[in-house]
Amino acid sequence: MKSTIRSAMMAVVLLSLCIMTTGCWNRIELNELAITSATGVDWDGHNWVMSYQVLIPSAISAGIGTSGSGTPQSPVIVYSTKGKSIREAMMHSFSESPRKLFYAHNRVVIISEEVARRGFNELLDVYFRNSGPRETVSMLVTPGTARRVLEQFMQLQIIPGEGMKDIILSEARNSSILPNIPVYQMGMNLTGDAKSGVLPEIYISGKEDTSTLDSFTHTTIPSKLKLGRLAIMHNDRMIGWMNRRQSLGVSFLRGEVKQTTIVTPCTDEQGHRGFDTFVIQHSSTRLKPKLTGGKLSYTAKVDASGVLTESDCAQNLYKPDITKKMESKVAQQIQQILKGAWKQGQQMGADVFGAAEKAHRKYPKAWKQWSKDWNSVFAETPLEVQAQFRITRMGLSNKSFQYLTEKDKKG
Amino acid sequence: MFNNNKNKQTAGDDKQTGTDRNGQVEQLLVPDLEQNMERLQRFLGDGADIVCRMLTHRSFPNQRYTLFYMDGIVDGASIGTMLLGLLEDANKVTEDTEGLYTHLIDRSIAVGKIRSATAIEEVGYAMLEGSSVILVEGSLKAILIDTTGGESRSVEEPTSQTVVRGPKEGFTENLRTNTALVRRIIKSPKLRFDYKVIGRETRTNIAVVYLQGIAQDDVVQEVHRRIDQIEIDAILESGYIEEFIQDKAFTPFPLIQNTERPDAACAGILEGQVVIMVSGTPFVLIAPVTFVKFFQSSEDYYQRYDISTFLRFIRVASFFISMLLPSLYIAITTFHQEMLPTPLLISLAAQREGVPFPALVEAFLMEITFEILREAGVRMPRIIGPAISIVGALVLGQAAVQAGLVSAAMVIVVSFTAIASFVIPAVNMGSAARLIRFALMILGGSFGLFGIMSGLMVLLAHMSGLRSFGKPYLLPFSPLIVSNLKDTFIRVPWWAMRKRPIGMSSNRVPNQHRIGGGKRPDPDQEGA
Amino acid sequence: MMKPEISTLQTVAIVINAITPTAVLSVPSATIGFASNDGWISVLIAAAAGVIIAIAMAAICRGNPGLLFVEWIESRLGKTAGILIGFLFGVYYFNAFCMIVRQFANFIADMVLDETPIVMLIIVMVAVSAFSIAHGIEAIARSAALVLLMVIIVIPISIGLNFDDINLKRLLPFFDAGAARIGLATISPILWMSEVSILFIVQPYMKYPKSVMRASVIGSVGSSVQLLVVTVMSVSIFGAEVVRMMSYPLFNTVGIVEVGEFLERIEIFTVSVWGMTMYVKMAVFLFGSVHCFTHALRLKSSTHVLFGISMLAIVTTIVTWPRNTELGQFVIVDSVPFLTLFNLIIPACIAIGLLVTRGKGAEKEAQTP
Repeated sequence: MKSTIRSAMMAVVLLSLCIMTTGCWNRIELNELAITSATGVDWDGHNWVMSYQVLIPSAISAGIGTSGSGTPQSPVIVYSTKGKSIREAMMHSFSESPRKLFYAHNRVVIISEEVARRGFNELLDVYFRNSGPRETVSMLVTPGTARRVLEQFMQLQIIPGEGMKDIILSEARNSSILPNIPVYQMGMNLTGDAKSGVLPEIYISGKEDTSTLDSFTHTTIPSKLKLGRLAIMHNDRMIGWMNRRQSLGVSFLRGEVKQTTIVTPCTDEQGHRGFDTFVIQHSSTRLKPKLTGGKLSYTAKVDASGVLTESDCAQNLYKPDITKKMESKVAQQIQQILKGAWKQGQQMGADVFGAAEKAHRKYPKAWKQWSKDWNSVFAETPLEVQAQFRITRMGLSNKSFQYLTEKDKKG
Repeated sequence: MFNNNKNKQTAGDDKQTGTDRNGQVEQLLVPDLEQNMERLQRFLGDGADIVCRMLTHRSFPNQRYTLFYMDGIVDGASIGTMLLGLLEDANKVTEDTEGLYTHLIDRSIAVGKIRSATAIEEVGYAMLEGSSVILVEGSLKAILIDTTGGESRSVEEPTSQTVVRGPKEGFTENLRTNTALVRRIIKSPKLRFDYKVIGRETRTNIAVVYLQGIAQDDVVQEVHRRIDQIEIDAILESGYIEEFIQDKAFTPFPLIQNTERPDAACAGILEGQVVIMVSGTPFVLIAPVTFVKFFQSSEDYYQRYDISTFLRFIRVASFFISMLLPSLYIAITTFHQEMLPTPLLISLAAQREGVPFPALVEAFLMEITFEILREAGVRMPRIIGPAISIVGALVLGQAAVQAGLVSAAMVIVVSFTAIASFVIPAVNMGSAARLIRFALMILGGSFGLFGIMSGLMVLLAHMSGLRSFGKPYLLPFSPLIVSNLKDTFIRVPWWAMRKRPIGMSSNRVPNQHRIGGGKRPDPDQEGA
Repeated sequence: MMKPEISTLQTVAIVINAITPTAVLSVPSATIGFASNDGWISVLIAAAAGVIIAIAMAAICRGNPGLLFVEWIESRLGKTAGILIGFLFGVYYFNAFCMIVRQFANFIADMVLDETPIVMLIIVMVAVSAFSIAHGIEAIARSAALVLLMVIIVIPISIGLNFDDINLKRLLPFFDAGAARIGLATISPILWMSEVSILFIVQPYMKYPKSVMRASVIGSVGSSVQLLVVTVMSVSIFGAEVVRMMSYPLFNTVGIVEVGEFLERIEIFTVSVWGMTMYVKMAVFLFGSVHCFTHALRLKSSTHVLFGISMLAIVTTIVTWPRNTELGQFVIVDSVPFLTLFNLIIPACIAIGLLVTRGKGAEKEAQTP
């Protein structure tokens, strides 16, 4: 009994000691934070230029452009700092911001093409070393300066940084051309067996900037942020772009296709040319290495299924052979897309398809040899694509509209 | 001490004093009636409420006797009947004092419970407890007639523990009524009432109630031992006893349960717990008790088991909310802002613009304000109630937010915490949560979630070390008794709770089962 | 007061909580660092070794007729040996306690409270452990059981939340690292598993001392399962290369969880549960230290010993490792002989000593009743 009293007393004394000495330490009130929603990384030749898109909470929660009193306030401000290293640049922000930069709600980090081509090991190190910024931040590349991207407002989304993340997530989910690459995945890709990775591109379409709230008084805004091509990284450096078609191929080969749209040309009996559009709803790709006679080759087995969403040719969709034909056309299309991407990858010397890991896993002994110069091995490795597509539904109409109108003409 | 007085065989008639066990001088009755009356009056302080009625027997007018009682604490009706019986008594009596004395006892007094006494003190104390006394001239013994009664509150619906479904009776301040309420529910010959008197001045009656064979013998003995050790001048409420007999002096957690409901007390008795009733309060104590008991309401057993289980989860959640929510809010908004979803963070940050105090201070202000409001609500006269709620809700809530003194989110947090603390059925457990809340707020404000975690670890270690009459407080979770888990934060249907809780009640095999096997309702089988 | 009684389940909880909390921090980095994606094989081998050690320890413990550890050694090996071993174990548990406290403090400082002075963290930690000890071994055992329950709940949840990110193919190819590296990688987990030697202290308090074998084996298997889960999760989520550069892979794995837009950064809850296990571990080791010193030096009041040792621990923890990195070095390199000595060699010596004096001990036991 006595012992517990004493230890309780001890605990009380120690605790009160703690409380009395609680000055600030890690405590930071919400109104002492400058919440960044997006970070931009530029390189001016000698220094890192870090740009931050900082949220103004009162402006956001009041809502922009609503019938409030006074002039509407911008929901974000953007400012940049320079430094020899990324963290030094971040440190300089203390001399110009009344509040402490807070990165945990950072959604995207935008690196300029210049930085990407120079190499961005430092950035990854910052993300893995510090507990503040998160590894789940999405990385994007922009051809211009990153700062300009941060300055753009966005339609429908008050916080541009958040909006950019939403765009890339929605793109990855609904059209699967560009993947969402969080920082940790970039790190994994660049340290993986192939030492290659990909990043999506974001660019400003339109000449002017949408950086004032006045732009939103019109129905058309002068410029928009758009996702574009796929940047290819090798050894932490960007080595080139892939176009969107090749990019889709990369997604297929990496098995990242969740939902995408494939358009195939079609011709009907009357010689009318049109397009059939399919939405692929399920797709799985199995990339398998094969070693025949000391020579490495790959087989990609694509198993996809989807829905016909638009048909422009007069054809009777009830006929099984027509359906078969359509399916094989889609399969062919997929095959071409994959081959195109593979070829482009080989030309660029970047195995962004995860082929190296597959080879490593299947042939660990031979891998020791290959790993010395994987790129040259990869450049000569053929890819065989076995694509299979299955139409699960024709949609709500069984015959195309074209079919019906042409029938009327005949009659 | 005083109740140990035993009637001593006194040697000589002229001896007016004797000594009781404790060596204290005791005044014995003498044959002279006047002298006895005077001494009794003096002993009781000549109060105006002492009624003294001189009587003679019809057939024997020379023999006088007196009826004494304290007005107000006796039952008027019994006094009336008794007096009538005494006055109309026309039977022949032998002409000596002993003859009248036995006659009165045997034939005349129309009250059930009587006994005799030889000392003034004993007579006096009996009168203070509501007995009437008949002193017969020439007799060395007085007749004590139990006419305890007087005004007392009738059995009403308990106010502190209300139920939607279930008995509406509540204990009263009268010990006899309370024992009767229990007797009426458990009509078992094994039900034991052990009476004690504690308190030098108040001489409060206490009953220790248990079911023999179901309550553990060592627990019953321990209860007796601890109660017997109490030495105090007054017991006004069962809380006095509780603080004397609990296992650990310094703990925020209640180690003894209290209830106003006879059904809850009986449920405890039937599970092997011991109930301690104290005269003068409707709150009886139940021991030993475990942590989970405080989250169980007697209504849980009257409702369907599914809703009872759900409600118990709600209560446990409320307990944790009321203990943790403000500290979590402080810790998350001042240390771990990354945990908040972005829209919430922005809206909280916007609300905090212009609030002058740090979150910790803000929370403390609001919590203390709420505690003041709550205390005011309990203490103030009923009529002023609405005024307080208006002032509390509007002025302190809305106006404080509008004036920018506190953020709206903090008001929500504090209000929710307050509401959650009322969900816990046991008020004393709610108070524990209230106290711990403040400690955790300081920890959360100094070290963030690490501080809260450390605080919870301290609580966990503390609770693991607690015992209630030797029973581990966290039973049946730690040490784990799987079969007891049926009635903890969940409640399984009655037909599945075949055994009494192991470890709490006696382990003797014939008593363990309370329900026969295979009693699950199965209409098909019945038909077959 | 009655003699404290610890159930078998609680013993299992103590064993698991004495092994895993620090092990999950360093084992994934250590094994994956050496054996790359074959780290889990090392953990499996270490698990087998751990079970053998556990059986051996339990076998030694079963020879104890119910005396406290130091008393038992004294009765069998003589007073001098008893005091010496008791004292050595006291020092060992004290050192281990300081090391754990510092590891925990460093971790908390790295993860969340980087600006809070580490002294404060250490004081809080030691105070909380000392407070738990003051309630006795029973309270620790019960807390351990409840904390274990939380761990058992948290592990499936974490796996479930990370399910989308887990790619078991990252474990392929098997045996890529080569036997030598895999073997090297087993050292660290084996050493952690050898901390099952805490049973020497705990076993005399058990309610059913004969079930120490079961408790020991279940405990070490349970710990191995946890280590295995953590190692496999780290590799299958991040791949071996990235894990190497992570200080705390366990928390990176839960750190990437995003459930919708509202539930992210929930690793703090995992950290909290893990912190609880860490507290139990600290309490167990502090108890070991206090227990050994009190009995070896025949001190009357364990409360004073507790107070003194706690104060000493605070100072030692702060002064010994001025920089966090020095602790890392200490944990990985210097602790190897240290742990080997106290968890393997000394128990082995005790076992030999007991075998030699078995006849004598049996005589004594026969005489006592």
